[in-house]
Amino acid sequence: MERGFVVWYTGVAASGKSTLGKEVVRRLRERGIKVEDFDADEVRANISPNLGFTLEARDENTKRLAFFGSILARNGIAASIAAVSSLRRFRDRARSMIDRFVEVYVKCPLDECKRRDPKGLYKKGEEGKINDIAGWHQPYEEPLTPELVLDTAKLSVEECAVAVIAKLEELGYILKTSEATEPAGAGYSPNEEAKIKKRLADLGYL
Amino acid sequence: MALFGKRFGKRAGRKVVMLGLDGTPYTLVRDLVERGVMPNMAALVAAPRRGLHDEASGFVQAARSAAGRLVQMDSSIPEISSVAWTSTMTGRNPGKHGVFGFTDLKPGTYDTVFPNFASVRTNVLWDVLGDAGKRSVVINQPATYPARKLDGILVAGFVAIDLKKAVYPPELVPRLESAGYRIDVDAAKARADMGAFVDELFQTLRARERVILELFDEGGWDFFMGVVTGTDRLQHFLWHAYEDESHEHHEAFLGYYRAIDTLIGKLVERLDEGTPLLMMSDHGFTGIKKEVFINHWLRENGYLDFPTDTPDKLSEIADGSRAFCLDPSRIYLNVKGHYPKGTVEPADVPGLLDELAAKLAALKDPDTGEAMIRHVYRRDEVYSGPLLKQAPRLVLVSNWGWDLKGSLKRRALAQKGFFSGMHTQDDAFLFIRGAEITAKAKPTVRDVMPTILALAGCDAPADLDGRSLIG
Repeated sequence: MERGFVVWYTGVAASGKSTLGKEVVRRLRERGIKVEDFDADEVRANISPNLGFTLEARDENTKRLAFFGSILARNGIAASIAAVSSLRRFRDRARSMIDRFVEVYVKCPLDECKRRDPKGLYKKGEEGKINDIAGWHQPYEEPLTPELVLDTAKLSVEECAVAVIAKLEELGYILKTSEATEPAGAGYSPNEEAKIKKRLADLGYL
Repeated sequence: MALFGKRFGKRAGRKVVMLGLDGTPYTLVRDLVERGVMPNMAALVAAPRRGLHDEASGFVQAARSAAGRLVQMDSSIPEISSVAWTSTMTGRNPGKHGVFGFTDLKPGTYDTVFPNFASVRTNVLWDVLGDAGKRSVVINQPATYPARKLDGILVAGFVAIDLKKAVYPPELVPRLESAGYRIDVDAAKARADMGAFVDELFQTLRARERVILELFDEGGWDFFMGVVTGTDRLQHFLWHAYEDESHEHHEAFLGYYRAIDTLIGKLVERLDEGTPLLMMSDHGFTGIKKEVFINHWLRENGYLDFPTDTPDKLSEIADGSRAFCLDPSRIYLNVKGHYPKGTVEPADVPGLLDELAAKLAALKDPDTGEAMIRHVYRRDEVYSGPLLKQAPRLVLVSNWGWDLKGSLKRRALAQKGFFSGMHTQDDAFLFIRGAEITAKAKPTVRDVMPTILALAGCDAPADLDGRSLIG
């Protein structure tokens, strides 16, 4: 059985972790790779709705996520985990628990995150209703040596997803058959298509 | 005995070996066997059956395996390698596997796409073997590009472009490169310099043989399959060199089949007699009398129109067009709602099909008056399954000698061109040693997968169109 891996997306709220994670998961599944998508907020809502957002609670939540990822990975299933995981020790602990661990720092300036604010979190912060947002009220410790840093203010979702897939290929965690399972006919670049046309024409098929 | 009891009962654990020869006709193999060009093949076909003295041991099949049987086989419809090989490795018709030709249309458009291995909607032979814990090594199987993961090794054949994407696992690529492995010959050379083309055919075969035998000898497989595609290339350009003994490349043609026979000999000497051996081609071949351009006929008879005389693409189709042909002989109707410029009312489809089928079936060679079309197949005679609606409405199969083409540019009904040989639908070959062919009907390429699964002791998926040929 092949070993799984964990892609751990870290970054402040609204930086694009879940969006990117879902896009990468979609691409991995297209290749026939078994992968589970964990979103920290969804896991909270399902497993521990009363956990809260204190430092201890965040500590607990990231520990659980790392545990889930480690179980899946050692059984040959990949996991995608999107969690703010604001402190380095949270991520370092996850790394120590998981054999093939890929830390992706999803970087985005605070102003841009405030502008996006899909969950209305920053709005609440502006209104003074909450005061525990990582990277604003609370520290967010940037990763020192992540496998990948992606600036989502500058790159598209697709560009970021391609970079994650390329990193997984580079690390040897997935195969370099980047177009193996794309839909009919869509798997060829214009250059390849031109070559195919020529070969078919040389044999009288076009 | 107790230790091996389980294996005997199911006749499981047997290895199976297959050699594919792309486009090699049954009638050619018979002829070359008789002429002494293929002595190893001759020995296989003529081998006497051993007695059944060891029947009690349960090795009846093994004892019989010294003999083999060579039979004629039907290809797919149409008899195009991508369709025929995909039908071979899936055991199903295109209405299930999804590959109808080298080209197809993006649904709802006139845009051409080139179906590839990712277009195949079903599992393939080695997926089923893999599920049963059996490991496959498959070399140069056409229509498997880009290669996808399997339990074993896959080196994709035509129309593979980039070796890195043609090979699973990718770690094998450097080894193939250092062995001088080539996916295909450069067919364009045949026009520029036939001698150089012939040299390249032999070089490519040598490198392919080297890789086939190396991976065979490394073992660790339960199913081994190698395909030679140079046979098809040779015949496309030099069929007349086979027929004409005074042709400058006549000896090269025979020499190529001698080399194939040597490869057969090398495989056979590596096999113990208990291991079944299959050989097959995906379609037959014959000499071209004329190329026949179906789209020209459709234009001349008012079914198809373009604003220019020699359009580049089908998407240039003019308003009012009612039918068009994709290579080689797949007829589609330009039905309202199905295509952007669709004009045929759905209610008029049956009448139009009857009219076209009758006229096309009656096509005569304009010079000799000979009938060019053997049969016009209706969609539901050829196809079944979830993709039925993507299938052509009619498919023509020609009589030997008239090579049907889907070209949009050629403005003649029937014309001799550069190509020498053409595919035939009814003259592929199948050879099996190691099991008796008990099926009474003529085999088709779809029967190969269930036959191999039966030989390997595996259950066939329930939705196969083919049937095992062995008892």
